[in-house]
Amino acid sequence: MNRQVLCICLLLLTGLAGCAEKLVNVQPYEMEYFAQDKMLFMPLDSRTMFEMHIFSIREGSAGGLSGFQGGCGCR
Amino acid sequence: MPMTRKLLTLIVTCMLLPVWPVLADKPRDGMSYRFSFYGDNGNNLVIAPSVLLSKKLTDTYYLGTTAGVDAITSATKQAPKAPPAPGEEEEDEGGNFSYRIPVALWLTYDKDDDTLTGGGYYSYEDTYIGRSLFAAYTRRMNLNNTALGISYSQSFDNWVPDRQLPTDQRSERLLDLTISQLLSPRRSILFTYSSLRSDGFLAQPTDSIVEYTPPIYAQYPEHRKGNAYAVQFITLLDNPTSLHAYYRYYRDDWGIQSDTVNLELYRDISPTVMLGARYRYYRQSEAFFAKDLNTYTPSDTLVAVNYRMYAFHSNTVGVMAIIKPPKGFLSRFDPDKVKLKLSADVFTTSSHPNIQYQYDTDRLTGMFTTIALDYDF
Repeated sequence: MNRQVLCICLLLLTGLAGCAEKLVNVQPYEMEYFAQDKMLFMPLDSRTMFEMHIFSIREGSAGGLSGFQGGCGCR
Repeated sequence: MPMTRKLLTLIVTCMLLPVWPVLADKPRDGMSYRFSFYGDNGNNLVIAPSVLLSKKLTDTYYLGTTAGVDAITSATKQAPKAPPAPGEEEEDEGGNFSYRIPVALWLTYDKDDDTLTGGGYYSYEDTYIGRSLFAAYTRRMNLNNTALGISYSQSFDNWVPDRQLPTDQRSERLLDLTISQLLSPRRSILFTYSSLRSDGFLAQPTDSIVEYTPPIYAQYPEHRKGNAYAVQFITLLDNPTSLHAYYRYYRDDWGIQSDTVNLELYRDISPTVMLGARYRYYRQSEAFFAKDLNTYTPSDTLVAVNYRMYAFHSNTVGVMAIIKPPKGFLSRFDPDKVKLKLSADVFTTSSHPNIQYQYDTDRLTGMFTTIALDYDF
């Protein structure tokens, strides 16, 4: 796992450092849509939190949504 | 309340644990009142009211906490029992609630483009003690077009079972790496990599094949490593409508691989009401130690009973709404600071003999709902 994470981090940093200018696709005055609920990655955060646990208990896999968790024996 | 049933309630209690998304959003300065409900045809029921408070202490520091009460009832497969002796009451196997109170506390440092959070979680109940520490760092860059995030959590839990387990310890470590990027004024994308590691007694102590005397209890390997790779894409279809598409691939060293697809459509139907609908599909393969229940013998060292260790698929549909108070209504509140968030989802699994064995139904069908009232200071 450590090598995998290290590779991902290095690729990420290299990519971002090399093309920082190209990553500015949206100017500050063009960000009005991203302030709207429907454009958020988690418009209903309460539902996202609850269903993350439901699915991790009802299914055999987890992860893929950023968030802390722990203190439970569900998996 | 029989100890076996108490232990199985952990299957559903854990859905109530706090999870704090780590994305590019700034920390909140506000409160949320939440009420969550879960019920399924396997006689599992959860009612969970909770309160979240995130308070801005200074220009850069925020203190957050969650507290709630989880009321859970569940049923499990019981070994055939002899009729109660005359004068002895038979224990009721359903309808009794067990309770626990989880608490979490965290501190957030937020300045310019950097956000750092650290905190802890603790919960206690008769059969399980949960403890975890977590930390996260988010950096916004490229004029807020890009956000990098890393989060780490480690739990140090203990079973308090009524039978001898190989170990009472259980720990889980989760490492998430995320990168979000704005692609255009109407599109954005989020990549997430998750590394999961679990150690200790990882099966449910109550999962068993009860036809044997003594029962054959579920026993999984004591270590598990998994990786998840996910991508989420959001696009504005037209001014009031957005589409969210999500895909996740997961695999672990127990042989389980899964694919998850989630599609959500949101639409503003008025300046104060947004509605949404979702469809989710999930499928997985089975663990390497999963086999037909009637082929296990007492000499097997690894035993899978729960259907989650077997191949199956599930479908979920749901509706969502976010409602803001219209101007003039409750005029003492700023309408931009109050939101009522509602959701209702129904899921159903494919049929599986292990579901039939554990829950006396060929497929699990359940419903979960959330009601949240968010208020920003």
